[in-house]
Amino acid sequence: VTEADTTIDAPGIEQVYEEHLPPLRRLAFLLTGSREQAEDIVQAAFATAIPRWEQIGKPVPYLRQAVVNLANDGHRRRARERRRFASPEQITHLPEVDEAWAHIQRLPYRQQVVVVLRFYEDLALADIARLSSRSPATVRSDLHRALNRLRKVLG
Amino acid sequence: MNSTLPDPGLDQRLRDVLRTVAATMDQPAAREAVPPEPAPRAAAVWRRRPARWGVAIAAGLAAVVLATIIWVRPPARPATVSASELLLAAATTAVETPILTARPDQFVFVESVSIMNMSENIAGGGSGPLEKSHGYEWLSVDGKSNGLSRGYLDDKPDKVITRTLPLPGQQNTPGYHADLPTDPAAMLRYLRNLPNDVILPSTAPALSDDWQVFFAAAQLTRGYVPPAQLSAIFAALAQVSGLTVVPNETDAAGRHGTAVRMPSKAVYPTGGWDEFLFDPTTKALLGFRSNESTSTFMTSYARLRVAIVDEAGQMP
Repeated sequence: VTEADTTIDAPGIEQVYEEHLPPLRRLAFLLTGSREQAEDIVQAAFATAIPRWEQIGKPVPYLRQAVVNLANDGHRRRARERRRFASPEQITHLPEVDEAWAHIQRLPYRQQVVVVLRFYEDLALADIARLSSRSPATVRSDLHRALNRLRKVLG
Repeated sequence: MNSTLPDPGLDQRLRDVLRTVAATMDQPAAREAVPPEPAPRAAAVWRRRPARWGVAIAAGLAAVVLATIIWVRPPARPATVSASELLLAAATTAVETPILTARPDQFVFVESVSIMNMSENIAGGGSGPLEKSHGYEWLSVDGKSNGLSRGYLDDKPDKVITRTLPLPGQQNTPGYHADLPTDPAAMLRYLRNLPNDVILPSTAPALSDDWQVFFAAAQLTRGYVPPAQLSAIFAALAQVSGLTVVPNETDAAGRHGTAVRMPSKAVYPTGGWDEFLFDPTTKALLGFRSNESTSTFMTSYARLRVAIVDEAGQMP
């Protein structure tokens, strides 16, 4: 949980939607690699949050957790589809970025999540562990393996 | 270099790459990095909370009249039974099971064992490691209160994970399905028309109505379904085509079972399936299994115990 999250004092739905929709969409995109699925996941996250908005207290951490959970639900389905479809298209005009992104996407999914949460969301290992319902030790191990792998292919 | 030590160069490069890629979400949708969402697996649904759609709990659940459906037990079964025969026998068993009554403010307690293939490459035929876990869930009867889940991996029984239900991203729905139809024909229509979140890639075969019925039934039976309604579910499934019977299966708890299997090329292009497991003698529902392909096990779920309790976290 970041400092910014903890300082939010029961913000309204519209305010959170307006301010946090873009970063949540970006996070969902990094976790899924799919624009369409990222949009669906963020909408679903808000849909589940709205009925219990008054009880949530800190909606942004809740929504981020929802995005991670929903992306995880869809992960195995995507794994099957990657086999059935052609390789992903280039998404930027920077070859070095596309190459690095492709290597990140080829990581085992759990390692990919850790890399995104660590280097995009700037979360501490303990927060990543809490967010992904795993132990800090296994998160640290995944980060270690992911960085070793990325260092080899990107070095 | 030991990657536990900071590597500012790589760290910063990853930050830059992720920010650049993430920023493409702020641009007009011109490209798609990965194909659209395929069909979700029934197994994934079973691992999550039960059905998303709401079924309002009726007042006076004890008044549910079992006699609304009287199933005639099928004739003595031959050595090899059809899926329809097995499901009708399961319907008979279900309707003869004593009902669990509940108040709207109570909780459905479910104890289960699950086994998951944790391979990162199931679609490619990857196998293992297999992760076996023991779980307890307390589902709000009327879906208006938060529930609870507790679980642990069998090889780490001292590390119990407790979470509030519904999990972020999930809907709070009733755990007690009292208002379902009790007539098989009405149940069949109900299952066929239930909304689902299945989104197929454009190149995949369309999902059949029969698969939709099977999928919906699997979701509903994750919560508590009273005898008359559960019986109607199995009787409705007996009218579905494409089902096969597979003897000598084993559920996640190691119990011997007979499976009613639904294959789907749309969901499992390499020949996988979802299946209900029934006790071979009593025809009581034991749980579910899924395979990604003919040779790749994916997940298995065995329900051990269901009860009604007053508080989330209370053991029956």
